[in-house]
Amino acid sequence: MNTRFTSLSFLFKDKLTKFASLTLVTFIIVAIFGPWIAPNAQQGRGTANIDDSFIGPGKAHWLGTDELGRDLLSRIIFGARPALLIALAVVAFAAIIGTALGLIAGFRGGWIDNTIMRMSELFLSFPPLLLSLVAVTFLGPGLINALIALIISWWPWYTRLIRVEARIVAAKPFVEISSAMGVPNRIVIIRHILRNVTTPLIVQVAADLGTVILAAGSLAFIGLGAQPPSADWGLMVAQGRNVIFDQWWISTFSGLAIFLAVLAFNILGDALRDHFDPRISRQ
Amino acid sequence: MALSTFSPSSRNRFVAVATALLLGAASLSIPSSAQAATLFKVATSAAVTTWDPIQSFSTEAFYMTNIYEPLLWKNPDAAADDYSPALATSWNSSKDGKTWTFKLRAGATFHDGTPVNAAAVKASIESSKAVGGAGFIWDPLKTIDTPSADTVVFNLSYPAPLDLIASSTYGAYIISPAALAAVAKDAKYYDSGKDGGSGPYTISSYKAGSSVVLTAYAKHWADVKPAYSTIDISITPDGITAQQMMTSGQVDWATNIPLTSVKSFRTNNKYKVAVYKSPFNYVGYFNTLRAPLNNPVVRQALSYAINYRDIVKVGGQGYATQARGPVPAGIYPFDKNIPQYSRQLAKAKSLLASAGVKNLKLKITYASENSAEARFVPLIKDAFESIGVSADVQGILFNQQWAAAKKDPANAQDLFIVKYWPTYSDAGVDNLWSLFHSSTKPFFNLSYWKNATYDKLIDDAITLSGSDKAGAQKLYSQAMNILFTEAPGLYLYDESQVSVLPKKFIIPSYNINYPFSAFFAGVKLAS
Repeated sequence: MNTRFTSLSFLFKDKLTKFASLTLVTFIIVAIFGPWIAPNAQQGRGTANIDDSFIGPGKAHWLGTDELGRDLLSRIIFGARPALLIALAVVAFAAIIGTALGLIAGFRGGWIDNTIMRMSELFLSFPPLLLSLVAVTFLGPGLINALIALIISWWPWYTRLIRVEARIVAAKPFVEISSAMGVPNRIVIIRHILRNVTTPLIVQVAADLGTVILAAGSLAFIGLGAQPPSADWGLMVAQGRNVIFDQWWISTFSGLAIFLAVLAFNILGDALRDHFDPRISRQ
Repeated sequence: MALSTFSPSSRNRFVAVATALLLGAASLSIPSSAQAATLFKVATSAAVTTWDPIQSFSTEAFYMTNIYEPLLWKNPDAAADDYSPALATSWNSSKDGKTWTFKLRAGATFHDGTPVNAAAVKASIESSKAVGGAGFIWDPLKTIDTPSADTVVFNLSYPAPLDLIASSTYGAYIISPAALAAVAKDAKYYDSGKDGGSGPYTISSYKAGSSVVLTAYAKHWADVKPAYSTIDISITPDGITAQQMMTSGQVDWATNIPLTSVKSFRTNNKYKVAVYKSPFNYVGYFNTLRAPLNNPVVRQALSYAINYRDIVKVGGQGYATQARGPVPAGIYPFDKNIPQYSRQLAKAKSLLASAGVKNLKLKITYASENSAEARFVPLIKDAFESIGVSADVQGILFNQQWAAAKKDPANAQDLFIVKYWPTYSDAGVDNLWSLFHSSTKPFFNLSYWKNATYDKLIDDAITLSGSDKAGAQKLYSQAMNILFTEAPGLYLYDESQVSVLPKKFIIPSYNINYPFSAFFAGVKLAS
């Protein structure tokens, strides 16, 4: 197996990548063990404590409290799980749908290629967030509907990427020989083409995870994603926005959580691209 | 080289044009206060659901009261007189309260130049009664006579306070016959921002969801003309954006400053904070068509689970009190003896158990543009969860929330949160009737509740209120007690009107009778 896939040392190759990797590991730990780590798990889940509303950051509440008196640190910790899960779910579904269609389009060519690509171009002609916004307007606000809306707007990017790669691989002699020897198309696509397009796919997935967190947060921010009292970072930014001049900490810290997660995924995406690109690796 | 083609004269022209552009750009950046005092800029959350004054029954009242006029304006409680003449200058009623005569103002004209006369009044009121969004206010009206061009006689089927009805925020505007004829031919006649009013302002521009520009009507009958000939209104649903627009000078006044920001304005010497009694009332409708919410015991249990203190605190931010039913405090027929629910978790659980309810899951909808609802609705979910009832909360635009609730009641939401205010200062005719009287087709009775005893009490009280207000009050109180025990709704809180007013301007005081309106004709510079 390619050693590039087995060694994870590239994740710690420089300070920036180390920072991104450690940030992501922290987020993953927080997402898994949130209920045990959070200073106040009940408030993290959404239970209000009005008597403590709008307490600034301090010893009692490191990141302060929100308007319902909930410990903000606990809310942000509880927000890590849905943020990562929605990012993973959207990217996974979009990648599966997009890759399957891209492989078929790239391998088969002809009218199938044309049909799939025109359809994906139709979706790509809309800005992704606008398309998600339209979709969620029809589906109704909520986390699941936001997830569906994001998948609808995300899959064509994978189709386009994989189709290009698949066309290149499909034209290579070993693929042509396999087909000539009567290997079924299904086997050719899975064994020969899919295996050879995984590198750009992995890089794209890593880069997209951050973007999806931002997009899901944006939908929640405008009221079309997660609904109160969900511990959603975008929703928290929106809730804090109404009191931003006097209670700055609510939007600031929840926005910071989104910023760190997106930044970490983007740096990781760059690191993966550098690692898997032989030209850059040689340099 | 391109520059070599510049002759001295063309260079001069270039300098002149550049200077003009720079000056133009500079003038754009001058705060509005430094511009000619004929332009008053406003930011408001008031959406326009319709420009049709007959259909109007929502937030467009903010504009309508400047464009259209009723026969009378109802004055705030503290005023010396109950009413101010608008299109009628005098009025009286027969001893039995069933015949009302209004004398119309001479010289009043509609914006299309045609005179305001008795025929126009008759046509407007009849149209409003027939198809209006607030047509129910004219229920007592039997016929309208027009013995002369300036006299209108209203004949009622039972005694009713027609002076109050004729001064309503909704359903009482007098409209140009030309506009009435135009809308009869084309239902979309008003959509682009046309108007058929006689008020001090007319619509000169409307961009849907974005802006409304009002221009003073030069031929308005009032002796004192508006200080500001143009009112430029930005529709800004987001309160914090409106706040920034006002503090940065982009607008002169923002009407929708979030309650959470009011505290900071109290210490700002450029603004004053005015708190007024208002008819705003927050109610939740239980969907009584669906099991187990069709069981009053379950509704009582849910009502006992609510933490009213916290909801009042979070929603009202210190400017609210717990409601006693759907009638706001201070508005007829409010009764301070109507009981209130309080948080009693043990009782709530016991009632729920006695009804045999387990694993109940509810869907709560609220208007996402209402920041108070967004703040307190999670507390309702919290409260329900404390007695083992789970809830999904959905914040959607009010128009969508309302449309979904009316479309398919049996499959609609379980709990609908709404901010309501009466059409005119009689919450018996409006709130008690509109919100909980049974109806074949839901409009604002979004609990879909039907109770024959309640209906009869309300119908009798309405009929009696014109001749025997105290007798009507008794019936209304009995009806409100039924609302308490049957609990078709959650009665949350009454909210005060909090206005942040720039000291630089004199802005007419809030009028509780026109709770969603601002009267721009009275706005002027403070010094």
